[in-house]
Amino acid sequence: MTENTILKIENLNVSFKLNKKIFYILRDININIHKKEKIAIVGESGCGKTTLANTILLLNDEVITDYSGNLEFFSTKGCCKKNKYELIKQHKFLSKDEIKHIRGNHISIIFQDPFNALNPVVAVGKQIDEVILNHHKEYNKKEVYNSTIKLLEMVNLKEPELVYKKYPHQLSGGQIQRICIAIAIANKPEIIIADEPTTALDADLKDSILKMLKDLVDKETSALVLITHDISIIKNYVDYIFILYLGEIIEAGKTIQVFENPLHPYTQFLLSCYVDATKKGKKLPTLPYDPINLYDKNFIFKKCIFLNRCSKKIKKCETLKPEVFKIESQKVKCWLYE
Amino acid sequence: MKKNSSLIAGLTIVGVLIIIAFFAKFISPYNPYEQNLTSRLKPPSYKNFFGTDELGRDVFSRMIYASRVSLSVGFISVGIATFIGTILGLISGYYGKFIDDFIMRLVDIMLCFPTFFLIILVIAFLKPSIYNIMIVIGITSWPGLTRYVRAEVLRIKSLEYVLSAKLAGLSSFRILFVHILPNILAPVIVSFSLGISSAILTESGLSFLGLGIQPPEPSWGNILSSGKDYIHIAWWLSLFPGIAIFITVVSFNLLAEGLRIFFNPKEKI
Amino acid sequence: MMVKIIFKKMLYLIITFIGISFVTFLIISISPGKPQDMLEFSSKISYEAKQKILKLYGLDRPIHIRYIKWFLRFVRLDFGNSLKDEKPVIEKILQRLPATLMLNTLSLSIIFFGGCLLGVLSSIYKNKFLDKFISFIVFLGYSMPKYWLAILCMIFFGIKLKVLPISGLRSVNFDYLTFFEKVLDIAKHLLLPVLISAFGGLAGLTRYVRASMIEQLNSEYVRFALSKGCDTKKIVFYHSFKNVLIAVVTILGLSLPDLIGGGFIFETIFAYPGMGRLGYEAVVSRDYPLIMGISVITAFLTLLGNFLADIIYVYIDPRIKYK
Repeated sequence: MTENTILKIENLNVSFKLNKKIFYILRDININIHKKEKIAIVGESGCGKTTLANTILLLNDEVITDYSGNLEFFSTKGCCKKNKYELIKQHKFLSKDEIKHIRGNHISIIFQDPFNALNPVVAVGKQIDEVILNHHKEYNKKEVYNSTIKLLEMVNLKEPELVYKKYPHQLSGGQIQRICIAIAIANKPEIIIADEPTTALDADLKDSILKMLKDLVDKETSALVLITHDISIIKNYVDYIFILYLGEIIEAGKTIQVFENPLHPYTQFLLSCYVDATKKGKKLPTLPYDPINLYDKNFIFKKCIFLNRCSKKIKKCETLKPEVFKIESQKVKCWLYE
Repeated sequence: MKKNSSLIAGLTIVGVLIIIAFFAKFISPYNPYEQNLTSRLKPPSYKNFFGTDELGRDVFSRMIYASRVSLSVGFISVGIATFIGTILGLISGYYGKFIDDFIMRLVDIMLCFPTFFLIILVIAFLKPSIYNIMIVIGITSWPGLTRYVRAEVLRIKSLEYVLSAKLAGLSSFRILFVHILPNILAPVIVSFSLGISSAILTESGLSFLGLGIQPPEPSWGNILSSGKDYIHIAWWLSLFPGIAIFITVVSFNLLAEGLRIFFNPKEKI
Repeated sequence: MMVKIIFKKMLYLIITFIGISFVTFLIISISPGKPQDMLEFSSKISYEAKQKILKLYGLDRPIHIRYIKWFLRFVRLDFGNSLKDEKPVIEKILQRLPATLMLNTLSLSIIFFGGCLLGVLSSIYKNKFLDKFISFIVFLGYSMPKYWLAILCMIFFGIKLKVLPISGLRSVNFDYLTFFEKVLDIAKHLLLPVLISAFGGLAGLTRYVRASMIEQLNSEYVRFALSKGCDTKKIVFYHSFKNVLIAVVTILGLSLPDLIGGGFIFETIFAYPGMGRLGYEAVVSRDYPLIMGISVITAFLTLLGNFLADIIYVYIDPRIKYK
């Protein structure tokens, strides 16, 4: 751990209890985020990306979720007495009040589906006011209103005074996502988590929204956690990549390195789709269908999680869970690199 | 899967009630019409489980027979209402335009009018017989269902499979009854069960006011009504018929709840 | 936009109202037991006298003419005279109207505040003891014949405990009481009728509020609000409840007919001097002009309630204004 670490995820496990079965959604997650760093978490649908995003802010359904491991946050803002928060320490959590203090203030989140993220019967401006007021009780009405208008300008919305009074159903998806971004950056948080921020948007908007998000993150000196299933869009925006597969991080490394030299067969497959897509006339590779039940303890804790879909598997993969191997600055969870 | 206890309980009680109504003749210990003026207003005893009424008739036997009235009024009137409600809802939702406007105006009129008063009004001018009551409850309680069916039809109509059925050249009649109706059957069945409990409540309310089933024909409502006249001296006349109505209504409500869970197992509210 | 919506609703109101008055008129006119039948059977009245009476009430004309004539008189609030005591119908109704309005306003407030409170509580403590308890009471409320409940309460509170009066709106010695005693007296008389007539609607609304609150609390915007650092109280009472409240207004408007319809039974049981009991008496004695007057006034009040609910709905739901 270095000086600059602001979020430390250590041996984190998250499981859901549904219908008397335990689903091991995330297993043995280790992530360090440094100040001003931009990372991406990439994985297919159902791999636990959203659960990971929710876990950082303890937003999972309390009744069914069980956590273990450590999740620590180190504040650099200097606005409050405390600068170390243990969000998850073994099976214990941070107190309700402290979680509330962190949410929207130190760490904020942007959700995938902008259309449902805002309250349909509250004016959008009010919804931005709210996040400011939650953490700046000392502001008066005028100050709050002015900061909201400034935020609306920052996310490139024209006529902010007019937009302030609008309701979500009167705005387009792109406009609403900009408002969600305004809410996320409102209190200059140290970390912004963006969970598939462009998936629900039209293709021509994706790049401009991502670029704006990156610029804002740079300007506010926040760290960015970009969560996506689309490895093709992130190359220019992040410094570090984590590949998530069925609840495990199977490869991690600097963006350039991972793109140039993918180690894990899954990463190689993902990138072959991306690279090949630029060449005409060649068929895209596919993976065999492999349903794995996340409650099947015998499989997920004993074997390699990618086993059934891997074209390079060896004997050892079926009997022993792969360890993490370090190749230069890259980390990979695969027996091929023993 | 969790056991659907509402459905089991509802079905069981409704089943028992139907058996009681069907075999009323064998279950009831006395003739429900036989008056015995020497034993008037006797409290419950081994001889008369639920006591006797103001004319010395056995309340238990009268209540057994009365179950026939309640159940038949419930089933037949709700049958009428469900038939009218579903058909009008289908037509209104599917054909739209003028006919939809007309039916919806009609629904608004019916919904804005206190149904119970409307029923009283009609019953007061007709002869209050069991058939009139069934018909009147039937033709006054369809609007809610029509509105619901219409909304469902509108939703389903816009789905692609209906469009493809249209493109395949199927007749409107076939699309309505083969492709749309089966999809709204589940909520219609649930509303049928709920409707029965409210029809039974309405019938007993009418009989209670003296506008429903006329004595000497027994009904839970009119036993309660005489109970009100003897409220100071014969509590059993008020208590037992009320319990009977209550249990019947509860069982149909439970059945409706159970059916709802049965048709949408995901929804747990 | 707003004016247009209100105008459209008003137009609907008028059409519906004319429809209702016509249906009522039709039912009365075509059913057996017409008022002139009463004249047929009384042999004391001469043929000429009968004709005179028929003419006086316009009963010799065809039905649509009679309806139009009746409607034109109605617009001037002239419903004719009661057959029973020759008093103007409108006078009789106005005499009873305040009591009924008071009863229904009180019941409606109990339904509204009680239903929202219990529903929200139930949704917050979903599947816990409190929720199960409230749901149980709600289920009973749904299934209980209300007039039976009324009788049981009369037996228990009025006859056994003797703490509450069981009929009327005022005690015999009302005129001799001081002001506070008068208020207390009326409150005591109102307590049972109001509570019992509110019971069914309360159960329905509680159930509705609970279900929609749970739906709202599971929605994405609640999670987003949480991520902003809002506290749970604010999310429940500001964000989610605001969404639920909008639909509650409509439900309340729609529950009016049931409430007023129920009044016919409760007012009769409690001998409450309201319009419901007047209506019941009118129906039993076939007081034809009085029935017409009461049904039209009842329908008008219901429609007005629905209309108000619609207008409030348009005002509080931002999604409608701009459509």
